[in-house]
Amino acid sequence: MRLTSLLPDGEPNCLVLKVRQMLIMLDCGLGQEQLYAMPVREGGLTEDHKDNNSNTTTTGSTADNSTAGSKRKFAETDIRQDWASFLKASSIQFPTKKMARGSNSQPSHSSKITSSTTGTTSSGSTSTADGTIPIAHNNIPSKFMSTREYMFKLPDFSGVDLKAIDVVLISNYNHILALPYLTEYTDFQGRIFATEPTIEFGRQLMIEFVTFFGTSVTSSPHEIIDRKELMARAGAGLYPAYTHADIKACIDKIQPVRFREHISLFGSLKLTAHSAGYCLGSSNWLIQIGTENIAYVSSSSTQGNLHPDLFDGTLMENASTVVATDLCPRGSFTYNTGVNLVCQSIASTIARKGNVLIPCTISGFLFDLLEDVHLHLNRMGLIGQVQYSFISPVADTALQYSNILAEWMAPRKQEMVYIPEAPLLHGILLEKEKGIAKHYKSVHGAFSSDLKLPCIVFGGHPSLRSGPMVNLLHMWGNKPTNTIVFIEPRMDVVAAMEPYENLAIAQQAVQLDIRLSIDQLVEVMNKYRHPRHILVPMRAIASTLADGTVELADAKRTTSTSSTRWSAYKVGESVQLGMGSLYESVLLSEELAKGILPQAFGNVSFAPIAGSLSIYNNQMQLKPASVQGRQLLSLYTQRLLLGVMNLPHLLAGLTAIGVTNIEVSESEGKEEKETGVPEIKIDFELQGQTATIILREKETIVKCDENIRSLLREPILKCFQSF
Amino acid sequence: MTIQIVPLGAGQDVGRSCILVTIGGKNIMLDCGMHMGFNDERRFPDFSYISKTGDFTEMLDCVIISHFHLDHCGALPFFTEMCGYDGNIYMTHPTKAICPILLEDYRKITVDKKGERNFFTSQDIKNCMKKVIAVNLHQTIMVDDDLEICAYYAGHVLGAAMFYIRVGEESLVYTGDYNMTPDRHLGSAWIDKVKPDVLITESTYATTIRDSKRSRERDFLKKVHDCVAGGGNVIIPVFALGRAQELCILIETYWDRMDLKVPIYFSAGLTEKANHFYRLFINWTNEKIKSTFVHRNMFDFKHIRAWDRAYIDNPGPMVVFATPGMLHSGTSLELFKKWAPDPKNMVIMPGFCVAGTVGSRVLAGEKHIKTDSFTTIEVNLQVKNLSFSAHADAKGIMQLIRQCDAKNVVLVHGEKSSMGFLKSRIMTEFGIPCFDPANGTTVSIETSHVIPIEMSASLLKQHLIRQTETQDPGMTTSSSPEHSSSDDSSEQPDVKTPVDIRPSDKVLIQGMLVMDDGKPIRLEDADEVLEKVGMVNHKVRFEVRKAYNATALRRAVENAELNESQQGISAMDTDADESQIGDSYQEWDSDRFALNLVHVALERSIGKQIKVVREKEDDSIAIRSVKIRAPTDKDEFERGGLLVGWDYRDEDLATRVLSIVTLALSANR
Repeated sequence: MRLTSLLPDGEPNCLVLKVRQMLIMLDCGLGQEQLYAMPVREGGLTEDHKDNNSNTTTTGSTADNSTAGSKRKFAETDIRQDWASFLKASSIQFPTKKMARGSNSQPSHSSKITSSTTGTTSSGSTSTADGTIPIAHNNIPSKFMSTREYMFKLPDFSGVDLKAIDVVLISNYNHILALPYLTEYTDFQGRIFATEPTIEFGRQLMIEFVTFFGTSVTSSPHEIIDRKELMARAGAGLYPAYTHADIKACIDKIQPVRFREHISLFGSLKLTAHSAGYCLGSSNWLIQIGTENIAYVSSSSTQGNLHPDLFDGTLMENASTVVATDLCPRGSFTYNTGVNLVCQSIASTIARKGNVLIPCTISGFLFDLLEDVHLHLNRMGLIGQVQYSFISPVADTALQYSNILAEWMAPRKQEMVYIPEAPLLHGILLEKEKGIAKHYKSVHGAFSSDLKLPCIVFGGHPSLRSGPMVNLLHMWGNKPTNTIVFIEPRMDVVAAMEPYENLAIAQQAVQLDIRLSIDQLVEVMNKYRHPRHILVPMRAIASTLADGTVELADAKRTTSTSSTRWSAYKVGESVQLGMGSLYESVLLSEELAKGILPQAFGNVSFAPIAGSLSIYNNQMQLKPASVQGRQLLSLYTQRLLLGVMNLPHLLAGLTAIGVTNIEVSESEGKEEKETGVPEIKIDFELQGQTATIILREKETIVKCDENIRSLLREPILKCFQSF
Repeated sequence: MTIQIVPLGAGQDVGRSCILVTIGGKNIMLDCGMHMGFNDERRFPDFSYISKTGDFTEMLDCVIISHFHLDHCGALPFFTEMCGYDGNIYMTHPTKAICPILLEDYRKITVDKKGERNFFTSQDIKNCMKKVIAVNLHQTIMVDDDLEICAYYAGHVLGAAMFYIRVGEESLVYTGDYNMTPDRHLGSAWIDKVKPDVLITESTYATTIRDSKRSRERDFLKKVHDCVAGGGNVIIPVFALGRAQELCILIETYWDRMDLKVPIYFSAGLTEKANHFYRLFINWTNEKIKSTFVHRNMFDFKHIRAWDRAYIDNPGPMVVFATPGMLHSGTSLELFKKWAPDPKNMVIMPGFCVAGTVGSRVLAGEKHIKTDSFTTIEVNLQVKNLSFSAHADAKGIMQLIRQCDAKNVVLVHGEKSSMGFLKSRIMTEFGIPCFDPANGTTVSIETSHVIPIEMSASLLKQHLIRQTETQDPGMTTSSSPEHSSSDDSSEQPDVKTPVDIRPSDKVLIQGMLVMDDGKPIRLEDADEVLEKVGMVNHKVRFEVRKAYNATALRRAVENAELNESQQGISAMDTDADESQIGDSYQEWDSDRFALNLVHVALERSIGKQIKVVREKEDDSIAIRSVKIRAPTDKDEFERGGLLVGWDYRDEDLATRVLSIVTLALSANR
């Protein structure tokens, strides 16, 4: 079995697992880090299409930021004008985050094109310290900036034969963003499985992604470009966001499953999703090939009191290999502490009549957090004044959909629907007459007219590069009474706030992480029979080492005990594991089973068996062979004699069949010198014919005439256990 | 192995569904319903069949409830709280949510209105529901180590499910009630091709082929429409859950489509709550409702408004859904009293009515109903009884049998006469046995038992390679080996027929079964296994002398050849021939001659299946460990004959070879 990670550690998952003949892709996430290197886009795609000049106005309004903001921006050329340069730019590897943060990076040739086509002069072009990537600080006219295209780097598909992928398994909505690229722009033809909520929340995340980072409405000429061809030509480079049509097509290709639903493919592959306890529908997958069990443990949580169905560790029970991904980095808050901090922070802001911005996706533990926040505000007596707003293109769907998923929730929440009551609090808050919570597609339209201060706003993209949070930061960002609270665990707060570094808004980073830490993973593991291999991301192991505590770590970054071997994987490196002896599941038919004669040797019984193996409906069945088959089989039958030859036993047996004139002599064959056991020769007569039996330590030789050999066979066989 | 099925209720009957199944040593109760037509002990299934002493928990491994209709779950509180069953109960989430409400409704009628004692209480219902384990569709539940169940969508009512039950390699599907055509708010039943040994299916509409539900709906709507168009009021007594929502959707969409303005009311505060159930379980409705619920929830009714007592004197037509469903009290009775005398009005009874209630007397056609000593209701309004239960028709049942690929079918939940018709149709169309047991009679179905084992992949590979290398692929299909071992095979050129290109679907396997306690049974390579457990394999080699009469043999062979040649060339001089033989005898190496004959014979008979090697140096023939050679030392030479040696391992091969050799060297040709 071979495992390759296509995205760096800390990013969403995307791994490729090759087991026997099967090629399985585990999750298909899109790297998020690259977003921080991107320029800020105002308001996402707005319905009223006023994006055209929004960037200019933005830069104007936040004058302090304008240089910092534009510094970060890519100086691409207008894509409409020059597709050739676009493609060239695409083939350049995306700058690493470090580079991008230190200074802006830009391919030199594209800056040339910029100057030639637009007539603007680059304000400066220097090199970074290592001098590899030229940099440009450009003040591009707003006309071109407004049509800027966000470009994304996909998981490293270059080393994978996408056409050969048999199955894609999605564990939860965090790891699905790159899927439309795979299904719509490559020759991928495998099957995709995910739980129902994962599909729905994944779809919503994709829609949000496209709305925030998709092709801007002003650059409609894109439509005439063959995107597929573009993808093919761009190689492992950068790609624009997919479209709404792609999302639909992609989502339609996913087959929904439920927890513990057995999926059987190609006869030998069995897949089962188990609850991961991380969010609604979050799953870990048990992959069974033949008799080999591999547990894929993705984002999981054993945190109590959350709304998703509880973590189901039974998939580890029989797993010989565990692939663990998306572990919580060390040193994060415990969830409960974090929630308290968030509650306090929100309460104090509301108390001083400030507004709270919480950039997050509307799903996952947010639903639990909301209950805690509401409870806290209630206790503080602040509830009457506050309004919750959810702003996202999918806010409505996400909030409503989450409340009809009682089957996917923890037992505590399931009970609610029997009352009947909405299992998640926001179902009640959103009821129209109460008016405590509202949801909006974007900041434009009803949001501003409904606005009742103070307000707690959830939504937007955690990267703060696009979406409603950008507008809200401009609106409320310069008041220190307002607070922005970061709760999403996977994000880089410093990088996210970089374009807004001069804003007076109070910042609070309380990244709530409910994912399993490596210690929790070990704890979970200890409950079950130990697998042979446990694969963990490199970072998890490294931090363990730094900590110096856990007995898991040895110098080779593996943490192996006698029965279990820990290995680490990292992006671009494939881990190869031996699978031990392999077995296939076969059904033994009753007729054949009746005929077997088991012989016991201690606790174990053996029985020789011969039959015809047929494969029908992907199920192998061993049945009695046909008459011809049996004839054929007899040619190949290998008989076995077990034990040691016993001379008196043999002589008694020979006498019994009427052997006469027995003469036993010891001779000194060459064998004796090696083994120390003399060769015994027995000469005798049977039915008037002479015959000889020679006994050596591990060998008996019978010399006789053809017609008496079947008579002689019996006394010899009686000395042994035979099959 | 056998699967035994005993219907305690619903055998050749509708109502009181309760079927006992014994599969792989596990006892399972499928549904636990009550009969609405009886008021005595016949109301509940005869549980004493299961156990005379009442230790039901001991006897049963689990109870499975298919959906919330009372004829499928009505006896459950009785069974758990009053009979004392304390084991596992499984049902889907919506069933678990809705079933207690219906039970409570029913309890109220029987106890509060009719004053019956010895019936379960509200607390019993609550306690009973606490024991229920809710399941999700397609989720495989392990009841214990061997028994596994899995629910499939049945589409009959919200949360209705079919259950697939498996113990070891034996399996069974119980459909409950199901519907193979999607309706207004539910999808159609669907099941994987699970190939159950037995399919227990309902057969309510066994003889109906057309889509009866659609037409009944049309019928219903037309009647309502006609009535309100004529200025009459329509009263529809319903219980708060289940049919009420179906009818609401039906009327709502009709009103929408026809743009009717006649008001529709729904009585009782329960409505909101009841509709809320449906809103929370949107996932269990059909795709259309699911996909649009965010924008418009099907269960937020536009035309249907809450009933207020003040409306009762409103003029003009209206449609009122009123609770309770059997006209025995409350709003429905009040409205009925008021509207019954006017023949313009109409009452539609969509469900069953317990005997003795006003509802049942209305249905019985009574014209003067005395509700108490002071009041008598004049019944002049139109009375309609319509059933809207969605069941599969004959076509749907056949479709399901095909879909899951059942090996046996058992019909329950239907009229005896129509079952007979369906039974014969199933038997002729699918050629599978079909049963329709009456209550209390046992059906035993034999299943072929298979044992799951694990086969070493290397062993399989080894055999596959052997099969492709040593055999002509056609050999593996049953007829060929005989064909190729026949004598004329050598004359056939090595032409591969197109059939041979097909990968073989059968592989002959030999190995050693290893049975170790607690571990799966494994099939491994015999030598490897024994080596692993440290068994000493003793080698026994046989060296036998095969005597033959050289002269007789040669003569026989030459005669045979002569006979052949005489076919073409007429009479040859036999004398001359004889002398030639005599001459050559001087130089003649009889052993070599015999070896040649043997070689040819072996190649002909088994050469296609196994490699026959002719050694260059000593002219011997080798087939695996079997070696046929001419005498070498003086002693052997004097005794004469060919020498055949083999290891006991190849005893079977050697036996075969020896018989071929005997035949080849015999003088009788």
